Amino acid sequence: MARGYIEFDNLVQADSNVAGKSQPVRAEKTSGSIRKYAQANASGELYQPTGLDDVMARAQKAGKRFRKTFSDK
Amino acid sequence: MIFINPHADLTNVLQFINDFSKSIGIKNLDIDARSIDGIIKGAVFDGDYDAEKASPFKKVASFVAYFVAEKPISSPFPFEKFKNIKNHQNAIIALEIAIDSLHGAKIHRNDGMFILSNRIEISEHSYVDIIDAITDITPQDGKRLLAVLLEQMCYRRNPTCEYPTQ
Repeated sequence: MARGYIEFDNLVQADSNVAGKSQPVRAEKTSGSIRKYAQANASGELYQPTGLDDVMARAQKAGKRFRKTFSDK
Repeated sequence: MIFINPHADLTNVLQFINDFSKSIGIKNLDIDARSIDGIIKGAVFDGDYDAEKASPFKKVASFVAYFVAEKPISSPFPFEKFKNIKNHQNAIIALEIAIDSLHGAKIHRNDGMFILSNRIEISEHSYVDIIDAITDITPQDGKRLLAVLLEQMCYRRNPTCEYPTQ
């Protein structure tokens, strides 16, 4: 079964081997259960998003905060 | 967002960078996406910190140190667009990932589990100073101080999570 890809539409992979040629950035989607690192829950765990939509939403909020802080000064 | 598993960490970091950069108006960010994988693995398996026992602050400080040292983003952020902040795109992205990863992080201690439910807030003045200060850190030099700084910034917004002072 073919696996799908996640496309990151604002990222460009700089290819140093081919002058002037850039490639889109993408990653394979995973399937099946997620196995965590043994240390993921040890003395503390970083925020674990519910999915890429969650990451996207938080990144957009962070960007909005950054823009508010540094733009139009 | 990170320290979950290799694939989730990679896609989460790329997604965050993709949408953060888009949100601040940077188009087609040039990034060495392949090196992100190495940065994450370096941070996760950083022997200096015995990652199995490391606190969230140490984990994320390790990530920032590897990210800043490796410098995977080559597109500069336009200085004229973000006045007052030096052109340190890698430090900015690394700090933003660190702050986001600590928002909602959990601390497990003998006396219970604590959630950092309030996000770190930094003034413009401090943000500029922190970016300047972390730009030169490496996995070998500076990450311990960064871990303490992040820890204290979290405790300032989440005072009940701090170890008792007396």
